[in-house]
Amino acid sequence: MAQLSYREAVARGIAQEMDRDERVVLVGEDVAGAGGVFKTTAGLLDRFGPRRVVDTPISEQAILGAAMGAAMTGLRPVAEIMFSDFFAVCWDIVVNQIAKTRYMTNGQVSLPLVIKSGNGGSLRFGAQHSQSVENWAMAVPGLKVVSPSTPTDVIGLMAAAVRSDDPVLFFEHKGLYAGRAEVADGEIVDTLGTAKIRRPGRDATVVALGLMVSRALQAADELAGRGIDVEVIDVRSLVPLDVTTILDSVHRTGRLFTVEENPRLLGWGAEIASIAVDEAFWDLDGPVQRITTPHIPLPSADSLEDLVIPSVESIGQTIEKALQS
Amino acid sequence: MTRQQHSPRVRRLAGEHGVDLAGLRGSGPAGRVRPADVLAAAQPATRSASTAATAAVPAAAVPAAGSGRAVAAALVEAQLGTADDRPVGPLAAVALLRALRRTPLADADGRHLAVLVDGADGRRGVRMLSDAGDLNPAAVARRLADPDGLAEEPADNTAGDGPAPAVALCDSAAAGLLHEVPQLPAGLAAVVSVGAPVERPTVVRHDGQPMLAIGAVSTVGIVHDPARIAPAAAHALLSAVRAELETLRSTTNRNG
Repeated sequence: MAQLSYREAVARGIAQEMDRDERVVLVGEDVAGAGGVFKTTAGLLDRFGPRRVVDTPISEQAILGAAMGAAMTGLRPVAEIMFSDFFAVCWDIVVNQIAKTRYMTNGQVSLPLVIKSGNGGSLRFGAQHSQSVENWAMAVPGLKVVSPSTPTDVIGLMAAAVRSDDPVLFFEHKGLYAGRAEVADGEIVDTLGTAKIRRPGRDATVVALGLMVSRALQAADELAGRGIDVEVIDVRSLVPLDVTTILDSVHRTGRLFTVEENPRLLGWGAEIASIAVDEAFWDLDGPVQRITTPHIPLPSADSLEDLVIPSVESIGQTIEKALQS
Repeated sequence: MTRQQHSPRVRRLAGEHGVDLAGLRGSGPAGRVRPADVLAAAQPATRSASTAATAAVPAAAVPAAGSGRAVAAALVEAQLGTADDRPVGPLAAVALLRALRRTPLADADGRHLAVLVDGADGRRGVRMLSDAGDLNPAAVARRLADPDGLAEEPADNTAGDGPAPAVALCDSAAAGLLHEVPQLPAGLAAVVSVGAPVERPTVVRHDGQPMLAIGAVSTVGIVHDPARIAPAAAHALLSAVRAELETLRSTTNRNG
């Protein structure tokens, strides 16, 4: 066991897969010499050399074009888009090329590649560098979408993503990079499409992702002190989605809350709410409630950013009020 | 005229337990009826039904012969983890489908679910829940509760959807029975039956520490036609259903 930060776990997960399979390569802006602007790829250049850890010009289209071509010709690239906000400048390659290649080649060409990206707010980076865009990715058929919340999950899900023959968008949460936790030694491999119950509870199911998982868990601890026992599920993987774990939990608790950092309209929780109402309607003992950032650009002022992104307080208050009405 | 609003869960539980919501006082805010209120109102009736069943059907009863054919029966106990109020029938249905997908038996491959249903005329028949292989327990429960969603078993293979599975589920737990050993309807090779859970002291582990909890145990049985299924295959299916049921309950109770 070792104490590992989330950012160190990213590098360890990639290194684990580069050690295992020489077809795995890393490309992106500042991923090699600088070790990543968030230091998530530190040490990889020294360990694997400049042929496998490649710095690129500041062009997201070039990064993903190179990664797509590499995947087409037999490599298994991991590409970095520094801030997930920048997917907007290379979305054509993601949506119209990468996501559709297997379909349009009648299965003849698969693209086993991972696009990792720093996602989410709470670091005062302002409206263009703080967005939670996992719901953009989730809306595109042909992509897998994961977002780990712990160092162990970072390693295991990175391994699963690299080993997947489908393109996987891997959303690291920037607000979690500095967090540390115990991580087991040796190889860690997880499974895409599996959620985890982080805290069992009887009174309500709270489904969260990324940074919102720790906030939901803190809110759950505070609610427990007031006699409310909620179950917290870390979704981890939006596509594929572990519907079974979520619906089984709703079956037990009768109430469902989602805690989402993405802006409210068509956030990922809307899809889960829809599935719950469709598949578990007769288990529901009250309305499904979504706790989200409002549908606005993110402010850069500390006080305003803290106000709009779901907080431990707003999560706890919303759940308590709903369960007592 | 005032109308009390009840949640879908409360309405479902009231229907399942025969509780009249109009006469029920709720313990929730502003008198709202909670699921626990329905279960509390239902408890006396359920108790007497299961006591009567325990008295009337001794465990390991001699199986009744089906359609004049020789049948064989076997029973096992399934440990369901800590007790809760979930119906065991839908869980057993998913467990049976999973077991059959892994090891198909006599045309039953786990894609479609066959269930024994008692009709309004009191006659028992076999009904089909088609394409049930990817449903979770909640979805199975919902579809079983909708009589229009169940197809009559095709008399022969002319329905076009392929043969009806030869292995069916009998949810004796829904009737509050400890265990029913059902007759084997004509055309079926086996019926898997699940009984109402009984509560027992159980050792569970919480963060690695052993603790006493109230556990639930259901009896799972199989009645089969030895001319169509070898006893060893029937017993293997029974063990597989038990294992799937225990896994389903433990993974849905707590998932790391």
